[in-house]
Amino acid sequence: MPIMYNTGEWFKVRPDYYRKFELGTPKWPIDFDLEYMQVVAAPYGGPIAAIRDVTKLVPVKGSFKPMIRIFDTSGHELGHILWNHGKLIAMGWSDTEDLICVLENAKVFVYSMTGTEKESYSIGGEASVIKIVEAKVFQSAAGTGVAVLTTSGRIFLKQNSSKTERKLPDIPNSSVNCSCWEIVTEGRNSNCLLGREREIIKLIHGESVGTVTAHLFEKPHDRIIKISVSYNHQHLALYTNTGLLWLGSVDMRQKYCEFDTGRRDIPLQIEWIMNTHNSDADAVVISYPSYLLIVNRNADKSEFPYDPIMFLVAEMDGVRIITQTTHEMIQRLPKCVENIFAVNSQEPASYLFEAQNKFEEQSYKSDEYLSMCRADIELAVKECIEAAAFEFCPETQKSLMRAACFGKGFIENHNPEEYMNILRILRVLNTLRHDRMAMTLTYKQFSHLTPEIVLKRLVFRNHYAIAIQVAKHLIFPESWILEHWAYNQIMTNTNDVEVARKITEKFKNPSIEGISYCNIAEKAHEAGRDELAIKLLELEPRAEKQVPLLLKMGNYERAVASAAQSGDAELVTSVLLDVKKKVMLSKFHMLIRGYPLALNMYKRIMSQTSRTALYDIYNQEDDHQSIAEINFLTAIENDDLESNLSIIGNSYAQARCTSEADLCGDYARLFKQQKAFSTKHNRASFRGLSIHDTMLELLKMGQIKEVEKMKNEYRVPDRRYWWMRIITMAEKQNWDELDKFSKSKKSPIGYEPFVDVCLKNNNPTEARKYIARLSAKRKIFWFMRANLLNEAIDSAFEQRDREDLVDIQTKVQLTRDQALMDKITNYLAILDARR
Amino acid sequence: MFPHLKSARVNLQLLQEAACRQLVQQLTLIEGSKVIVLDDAMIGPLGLITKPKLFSDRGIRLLPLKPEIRVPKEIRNIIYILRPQVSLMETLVTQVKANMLNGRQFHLYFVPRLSCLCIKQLENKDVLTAFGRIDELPWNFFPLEYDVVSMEMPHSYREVTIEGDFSCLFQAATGLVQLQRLYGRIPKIYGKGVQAQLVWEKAKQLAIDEKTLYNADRGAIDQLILLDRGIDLMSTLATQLTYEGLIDEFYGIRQNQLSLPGEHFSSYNAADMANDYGTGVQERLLATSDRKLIMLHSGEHLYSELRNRNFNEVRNVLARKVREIQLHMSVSREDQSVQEIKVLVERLPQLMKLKEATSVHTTIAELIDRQIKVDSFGEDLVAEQDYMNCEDIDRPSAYIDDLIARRTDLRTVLRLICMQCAAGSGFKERVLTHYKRELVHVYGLEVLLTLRHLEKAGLIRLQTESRAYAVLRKTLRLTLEGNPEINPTDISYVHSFYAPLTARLVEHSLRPLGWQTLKSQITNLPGPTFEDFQVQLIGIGGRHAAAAGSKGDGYMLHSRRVVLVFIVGGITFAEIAALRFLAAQEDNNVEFLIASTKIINKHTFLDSLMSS
Repeated sequence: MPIMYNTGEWFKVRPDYYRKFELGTPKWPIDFDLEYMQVVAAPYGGPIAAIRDVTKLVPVKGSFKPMIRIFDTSGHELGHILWNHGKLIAMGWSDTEDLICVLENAKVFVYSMTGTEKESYSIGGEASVIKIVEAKVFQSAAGTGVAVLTTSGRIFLKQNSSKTERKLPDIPNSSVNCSCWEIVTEGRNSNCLLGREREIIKLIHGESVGTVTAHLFEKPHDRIIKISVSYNHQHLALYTNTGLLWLGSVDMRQKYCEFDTGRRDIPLQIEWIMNTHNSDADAVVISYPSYLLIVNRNADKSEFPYDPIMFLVAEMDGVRIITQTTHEMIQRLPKCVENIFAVNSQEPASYLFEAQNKFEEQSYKSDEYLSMCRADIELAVKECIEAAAFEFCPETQKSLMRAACFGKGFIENHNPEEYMNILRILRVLNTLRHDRMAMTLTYKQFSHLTPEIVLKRLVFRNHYAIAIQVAKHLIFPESWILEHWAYNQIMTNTNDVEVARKITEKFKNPSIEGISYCNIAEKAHEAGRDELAIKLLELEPRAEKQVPLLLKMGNYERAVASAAQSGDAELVTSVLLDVKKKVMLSKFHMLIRGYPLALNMYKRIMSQTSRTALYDIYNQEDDHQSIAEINFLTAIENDDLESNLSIIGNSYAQARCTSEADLCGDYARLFKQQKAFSTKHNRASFRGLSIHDTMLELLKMGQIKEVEKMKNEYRVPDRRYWWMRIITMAEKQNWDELDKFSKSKKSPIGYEPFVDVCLKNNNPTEARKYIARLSAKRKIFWFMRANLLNEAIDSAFEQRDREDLVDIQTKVQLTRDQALMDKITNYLAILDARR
Repeated sequence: MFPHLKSARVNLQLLQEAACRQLVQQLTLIEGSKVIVLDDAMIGPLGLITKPKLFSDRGIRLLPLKPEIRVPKEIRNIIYILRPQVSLMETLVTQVKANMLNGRQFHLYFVPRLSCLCIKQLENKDVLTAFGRIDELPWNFFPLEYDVVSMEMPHSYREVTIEGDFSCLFQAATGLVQLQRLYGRIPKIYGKGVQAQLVWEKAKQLAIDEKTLYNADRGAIDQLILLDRGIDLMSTLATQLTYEGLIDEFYGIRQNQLSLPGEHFSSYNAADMANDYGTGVQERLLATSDRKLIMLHSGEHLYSELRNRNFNEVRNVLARKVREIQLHMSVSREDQSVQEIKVLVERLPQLMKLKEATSVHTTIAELIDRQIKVDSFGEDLVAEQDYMNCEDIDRPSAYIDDLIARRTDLRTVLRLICMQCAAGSGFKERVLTHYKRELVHVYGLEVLLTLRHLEKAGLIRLQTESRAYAVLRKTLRLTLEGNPEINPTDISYVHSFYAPLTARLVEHSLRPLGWQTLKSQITNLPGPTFEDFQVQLIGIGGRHAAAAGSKGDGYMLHSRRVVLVFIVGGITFAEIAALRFLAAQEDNNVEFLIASTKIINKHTFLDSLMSS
């Protein structure tokens, strides 16, 4: 294989290849010199905090006030903190990219990466009383914690402000001469490793004393001066004052190697280089002033001279080096990259890569190379894709992806999922690595963080446009990004109209799902900008989300309006209940009257609970008909219609319900008459009877005069009067009187009712009299109903009504009267014959 | 679980299963022994989505909500499933107070929606803290039949028109969204009426968030026709002449169940019947020993054959069945071969079932026959048919006057008055005043309140210029002479010669350009006419979806359209029968899914409106 691409960055620490490559060139401000700084950097290409190192002599520039400055990896200042809290012991970044500062008096301040204070708390307990000497910010399963070492030699851990501090066991014997310490997370617990003279003391939480491990080193030394724990808390590196390096597992049961660096100067930092292909580590990198040393488990080394001061940042798949002029990464060379680019590589991926190159050169050799990897083409494609993901240089990425694309054409039924996915992610990664974003993430880090977190970090850095593009590209919801952008607008822009306009402009894009104006309005309300909140709320289509906030803001009118508009009676009810508690009743009435649904619901609630409240509301609305009805209902319930009748009648009159008012008048008169009747006829009360029933009662008593008087007074129609008369007469079996009555004048109801009442009172003989006066057609019907079948047959025959005869026939069949049957058959025959 | 709900296109078993799952999910959240307490209005509907086995398997007892109920000490949880009605809260409070025990938890589920009024009531009575879970079971539509869903809200029309409470419209909208979630987006919507439009607007508003609904292909339902009960009150008041309609009017069918006095059934045996007809939840709670409960749904073949026929035809069918059975049973003569006997024996269980069913329905038919032979039934029918034909509608009817004079049952009188009013599309003022006067004079002053209810409900009103009914009777052929009741050719058979307007509208809309022509014809009906389309949103994946859609359209050409007919305010069995008749016509090439707030008839409808 030809030598090409970035193999120059490679170096060998036997038996593995490592590479050290540039991530970018930070452009620090002119007045910023790393040399004199104490620097902490967050992993995942996160922000960097720097404060002047008080232990170093510094040429004075500018103000004396200590200041923490926060940068991104490309050197843009994100924010600064003017330090006026006292002696700063340690700084560190949390996993949520917050800066944690620990003070001498055990106070902890937490800042966002733009330098705004988020919270502060005290470690508490003994630590607050005694000063602290050293502090560490450490990562654990439960998030980022703070560990402090007090002057009394005790170590306290605190996970966050809400948890109480935990004390680790005392250091056995004496706490003096402890030269170094580190926090190690094992499972769920965070323990401490202390270096004292030639031994390592392990303080395990919950145990009464620490355990001491000695004799780790074979070669002579005085004391251990540095401890380093790998990123995954699996490996341990120890360094002695004599320049001996010990590598082993974190439980110290396994020793990988002991290595004599041969140097006497004190190393600045020791960090483990995590592998790219798994979560293990094989080598450490040690930084000295102007010298960088890499040592692996096999005690092989590689070294680089470095001019300026450097800071190491351990990552999950390598170590970053930040210097005044460069930003680099040391990484174990991924196997796939090695396979492709290594000199004389015989791997299929390498052949594929070459085949593609030749293909582009339109060289016949392409086929030769291809034939060499045809057997393992799938592996080749896979490795090319994988290698592209590891590369930082877009050109290299492209050529690798081209090779993969070329190769996958030769695979049957290739699933392009992975190919597409990597392409998509690489675009995102390249964008993130751009100077402006300065988030130098590797593919592995990106996958580990998950796109959601990455998006959150982008949003937090106010890179909204990029965040939205990334979200779109990766097919992630983007509404929350817009919402966050809107919060930001609310916090920073003071012009209500402009903010509202900007927000609506952005939000009206229909392709964005699930955006909530309400959340933003709530933020605006919290920021004390109710005007803006209302403007935003108006845009919220879902009333059930609008209403609670409107109520919270005390904007009852709008709350009622919006609930009523939603048509959701339940929502209206809840608003009514809430508002009624908070405003005066009269105001409440005015408030709801403009909204029919609200008014109706209120009426409905009140009709179940308070009739007086219902009365009030009708009164306000001048709804006299309803007032009449309320009074009416109350009167009925109290069984006191009589005394209320005038009020009810009046209300009806006011409501212009004349017929109802008249009827009330009728009954008012009736009640008086009923009383008179009771006394006159010495009879129990007529109370509760209707006009009709009163008249019937009187008729039964034979008081025809009085009934006739009432008939005129209440203008009872003749028809009803006749019915009334004949029913009572028939009921009393006054057949003669009924006969007389029928002849008194022409009946307004005809004579069928006469037949009917006779039949009802089981007198077919009387009925026959009246049937005679009916029309021929009706005769048959009533004869049949009176069960006078013989007569029915006769009249039907007279009428020559064949149909009726047949009807009668069916009825006769039931009686099994043979004579009648014969008669009908006979008649039918005659009728048929006449046809 | 309910085979009679199964259907190929819109399988309502899905709806039932979804509802059942929600309940089971809630039940599993509650640990320990439990009983479920139901209010009367929930007992029937619960039976539509669960079988008692569901509860017995879990050792859960069902109890009715009554103040005197005491729950055994060992029960840890008491679960209430109630309608959100404030009036129920009092009983609930007394029951909770009486059953309060150390370590016992109460849980409250509202169907279909939590009510803050109820909760406030509980708070006022200091029992709210006794409840562990207070939640809702969002059951809006209950499946009654393979083609019928009901919201089981008997008073919806009253609540909206008389009380101004629109909750049921909102629930209807929610229900429509739920249906679409299960069966997919409905592309076309036609509607008529104020309430109908409100329902649709809310449904659309609620569906704003359901992006997935709009991104997906069209669903199983092709079209929605939303009609307001208010446009056709005539059909609710008219006497139904189908078998099912008559049963409902005389005896009341509640959630597919008919309860009749046991004495009518010769071989009456409680245990026997329980096996044959499958027991519903309510039987355990409501069953009294002297009544026979009969399940009436399409799970029984004979009933599904009879239910939609005109009653005059039912007799014939039953007679034919009897003959059929006799024919099969009586062939057991000596000269039969062994094979023939074997065939007969194999058919025996089936025959016995048919025999049993025939005997049940013969009894029911006989009972109905007796009822319709009563003189007043025929006379009322003649009167109402006169109104349907718009005869003598402009002056006080002598028949009604006579009924009033004879002090006939108020409901009967009011029904006929309302029908006269519907036929004339309102009364002349003189006529209305006359009726009011007469009614009040005869039945007492309280009738004024009842009348006011009917006025608010639009059943009694003054005439406006348009005479919608008279016009539509002609243009839409609402009354049709010469349509046979046996083997009919038109839907009008359900009322002998009158076709329910709602069903007629649906029939017309099925024709090519149907709704467009209909639109101009029904402007004189109250409320707006509206149409809407829910198109697929084109966005990410639009291309793919469009391709799938076109494939779907091709498929659509060959299969039947599925139309969801939703009548807001109640539907009668006669209307359902009419719609089924339409679906049975090959030319229409349509299947209906019928939805309503409740199945009503002339009695239940009027009773709901009249009660104070």
